[in-house]
Amino acid sequence: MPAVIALSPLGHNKTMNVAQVIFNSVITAAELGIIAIGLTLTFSILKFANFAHVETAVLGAYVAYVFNTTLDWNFTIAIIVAVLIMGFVGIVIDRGVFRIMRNKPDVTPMIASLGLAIAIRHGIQAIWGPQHVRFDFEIHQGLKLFGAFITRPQIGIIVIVVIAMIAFHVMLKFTRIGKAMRATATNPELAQACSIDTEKVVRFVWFIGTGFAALGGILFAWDTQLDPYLGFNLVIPVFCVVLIGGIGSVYGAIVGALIVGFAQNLGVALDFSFVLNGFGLFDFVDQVRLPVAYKPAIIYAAVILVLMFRPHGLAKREML
Amino acid sequence: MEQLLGFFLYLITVTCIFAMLAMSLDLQVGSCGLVNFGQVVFLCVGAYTTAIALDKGINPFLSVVLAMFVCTLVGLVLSLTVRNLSGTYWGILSLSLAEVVRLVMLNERWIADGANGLSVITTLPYFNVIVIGCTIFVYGLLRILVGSPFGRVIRMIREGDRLPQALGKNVLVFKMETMAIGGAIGGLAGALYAFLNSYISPDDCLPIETFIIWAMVILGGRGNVTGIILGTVIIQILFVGSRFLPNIVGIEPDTLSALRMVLIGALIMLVMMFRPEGALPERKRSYSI
Repeated sequence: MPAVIALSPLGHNKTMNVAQVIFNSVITAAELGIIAIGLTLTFSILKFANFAHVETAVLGAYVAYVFNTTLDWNFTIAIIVAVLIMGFVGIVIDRGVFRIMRNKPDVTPMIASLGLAIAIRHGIQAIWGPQHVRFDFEIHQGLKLFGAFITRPQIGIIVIVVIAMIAFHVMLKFTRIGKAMRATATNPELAQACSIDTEKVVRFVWFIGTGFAALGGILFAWDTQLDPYLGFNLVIPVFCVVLIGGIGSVYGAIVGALIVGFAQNLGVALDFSFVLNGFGLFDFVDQVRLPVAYKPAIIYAAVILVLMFRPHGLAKREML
Repeated sequence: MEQLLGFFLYLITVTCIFAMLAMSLDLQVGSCGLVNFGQVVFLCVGAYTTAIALDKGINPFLSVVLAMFVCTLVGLVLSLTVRNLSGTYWGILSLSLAEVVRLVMLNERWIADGANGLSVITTLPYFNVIVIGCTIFVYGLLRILVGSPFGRVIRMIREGDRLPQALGKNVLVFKMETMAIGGAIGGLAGALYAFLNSYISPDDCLPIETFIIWAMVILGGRGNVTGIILGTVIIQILFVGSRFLPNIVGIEPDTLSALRMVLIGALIMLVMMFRPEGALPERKRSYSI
């Protein structure tokens, strides 16, 4: 997970660095959100939970790594090429695996995607080995902004994610293909009756979804490092983001990403002693903090809490 | 020769334990339609309960029963979260819950020594016979259970909540009962797993174990108990067979173990693409005149 190292010194201080916590939360939210958007987009059109989605994110990061390091390309060009290639890989995956189960109950493609996820993850491990790898870029000194330490890749990540999300919003709301996507998500039969080529829409959704996943994976690897188990660490957080936002809701996914980001970083940064001390009435304990090792568990708690009160997430309806 | 026989016996025992876990999962997924992605939690809790109980000096047989009891409770807790969640949501939730258990076991050293794991020194007399006996018992039990009125109701629930509700069946209670029985069987398998390996650590509770058990169920055929046994045997042969390959082909063991998982993943995918009902499909009886 990113930002663990940046946050861990806070656990020993009495006061909390508010700017740092907010900043780390936004970084986590940006990285998770960009992957979650692709996942929720494929769900809204294809109506199944694609477990392989997160693994395609890791694969995309490795493709970028090959262009960047092995072929020694410019980092920006490597990112763009990797994202485009992964978009086409998404279409190939759809053609090869999921097209023949279009009208099957949703458990069938879900389990198939599970198999695909296992195959991709271990395929990566077989090709590139289990060790960590890093992208090849210059390391600059971190910046200090409002009392928070920020690295340059992290600024880049936020800029890229904001641009990608605005572009996605514009595409969804104002273009013909975006309109066709929303129509197909709401009612495929009616969309077909209106002479929308739903297969074309599906292909486009795979392209966008897998491309966004690859972008998210690259950003994750840029912020920290890359290893075959990244997907394993990401799969539950990304699904939690999607579940909290409501499966199939793109704007819900952005809200979900922010909730998960803040819950995760606040959970380990907050001093819980005020709860045990009876909210300031007593003075039993000095300070109580959650160990950083429980950072993933906070997300699970968040998702369980949200689902208990809103069984279909925060979004009102299952649509784009 | 004796070495080979011992290895063979070990193989049969492992297969039996995983067959029990797979049959437990099949009762939940194949019969009741509960998409449980946290099946490994039963293995984990069952094995840990046994190890801790033995550590406290409790009789081995009693500790197995205790593991089954605790896992029944875990199954009930899991089933309580199913209340008003649809398949996908609950699948992720069960995956998360299993991970929470693993994280707690990894980080709380006072429960079971964290990442170091616990050793099980005690052995059961006639261990192999007990394991094989338990498997046959579970197999028979599930055959009877699936054919019984209870089995008919849970198979009806699998096809949708509306019809059983219209017939006055309490869907939640049936789901809870299914998870409780599944949990007890899983706990039994987990307890025996602890005895077999003489050791349990959080590394035995990784989600990948769940997916291997899933592969057995998918390959064998959901809803067919005999098929599950077949699926378990196929996956085990795959695992064991590829262990001898490095000597013949000359690939690095690390790469080979990764390739083995690629093969299992591809197998799941291909089965879902071309034969989603599995090798031995569920027998559907029709009651026409």
